[in-house]
Amino acid sequence: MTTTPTARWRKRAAVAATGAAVALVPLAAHAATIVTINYDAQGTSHIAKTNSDVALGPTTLRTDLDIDTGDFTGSLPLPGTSTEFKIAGFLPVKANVDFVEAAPLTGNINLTQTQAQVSSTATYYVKLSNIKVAGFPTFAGSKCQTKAPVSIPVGTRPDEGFDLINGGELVGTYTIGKFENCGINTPLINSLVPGAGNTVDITVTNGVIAE
Amino acid sequence: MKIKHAAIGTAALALAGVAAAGPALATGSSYTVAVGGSSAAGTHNITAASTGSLSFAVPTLSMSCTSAAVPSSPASTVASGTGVVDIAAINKINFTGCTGPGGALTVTTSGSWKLHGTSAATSGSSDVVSGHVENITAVVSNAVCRFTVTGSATGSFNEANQQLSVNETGFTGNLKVSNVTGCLGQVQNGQSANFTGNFQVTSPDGAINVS
Repeated sequence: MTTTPTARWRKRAAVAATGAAVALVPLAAHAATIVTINYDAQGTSHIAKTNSDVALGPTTLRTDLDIDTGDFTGSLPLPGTSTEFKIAGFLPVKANVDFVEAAPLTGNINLTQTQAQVSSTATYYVKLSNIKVAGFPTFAGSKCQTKAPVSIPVGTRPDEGFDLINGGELVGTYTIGKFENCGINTPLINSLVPGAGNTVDITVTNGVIAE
Repeated sequence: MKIKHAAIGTAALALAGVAAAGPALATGSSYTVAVGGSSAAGTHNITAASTGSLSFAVPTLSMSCTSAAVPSSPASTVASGTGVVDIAAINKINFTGCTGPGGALTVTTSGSWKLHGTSAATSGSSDVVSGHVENITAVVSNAVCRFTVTGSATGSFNEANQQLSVNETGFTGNLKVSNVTGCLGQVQNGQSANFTGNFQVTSPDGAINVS
């Protein structure tokens, strides 16, 4: 029977916990030892071009951390949300926004002399639906999303550390590319939303080591 | 079976690794030690509490504890009499509030740490007797990191205020790191370690005097 690295870790931890009462979390000396830590995560993203905010979460950030290297993979599934902004400063637009994970979250935790610093990248297709202009529905189809995945790099601020259990704040700046499959709204959306300088700020808390 | 053996072995190594990794520094001068004015041969229980925070480090990481205490149980002792080399035997230190890059750490001591003096001492009660604390073993651990520190630390005992100062700095190699697991690649076997802290020693049988 084959086992995943996480499963192997769980076996080691279970055996070691019996014999090594001195350890907070007993570890075994093997390469590629993966520790899974789940965090609560919640934040916002500010879309520069529309000058609007999008809520991110609450959700669960899962990290599968290689404790020998600090590299991790994981996931940050974001529940659907909505945004609201105005065209030309007065015409209200509302839309549902979905972040569809396009690839696993990847990153690294680097221990400096005094801090743990996180750098990671999450990748999503940004999908719009139920677009209403001045309260009137507009047909955008069910596949109105960015042509390419949007890569969102986030990490700890240079002067702030990350607590492996208590978490920390992760921030980043990203670019939204062009949308497609939005019907007649495609040109409008592409004139309003895509652009650089979008920011993300996610607070990560309550890390729990998966048993 | 390999997994089981490795995990149990990790616990055993954490306790027994000193013998293999500890520096061969086990010398001390011979003193007459009086407790409460009596130099009759015997042992006297002591406790101790840190007078401030404690620091420890490897070249790549700095860590600290808010406090530490030598508890009444298991008993730690001072030896009175003539021809005393092992002035004190410290059988447990409870560290609290320990943190490092990435968050909380657990520090667990084991074995009997011995206080040896190396400098001259008079019959007066104001000597500061230099020496070292030997046979140190401490396991530092958290969810993603575990290592053992073994060896000796430079220190001194101040008769006037009954304080034991541990001041192992400069990564001399007197303290060594071994049995590293995880630590995100930032702690290496064989690294030197520092350890500093001050302890107020309490001797219910009376003040400790070394001459």
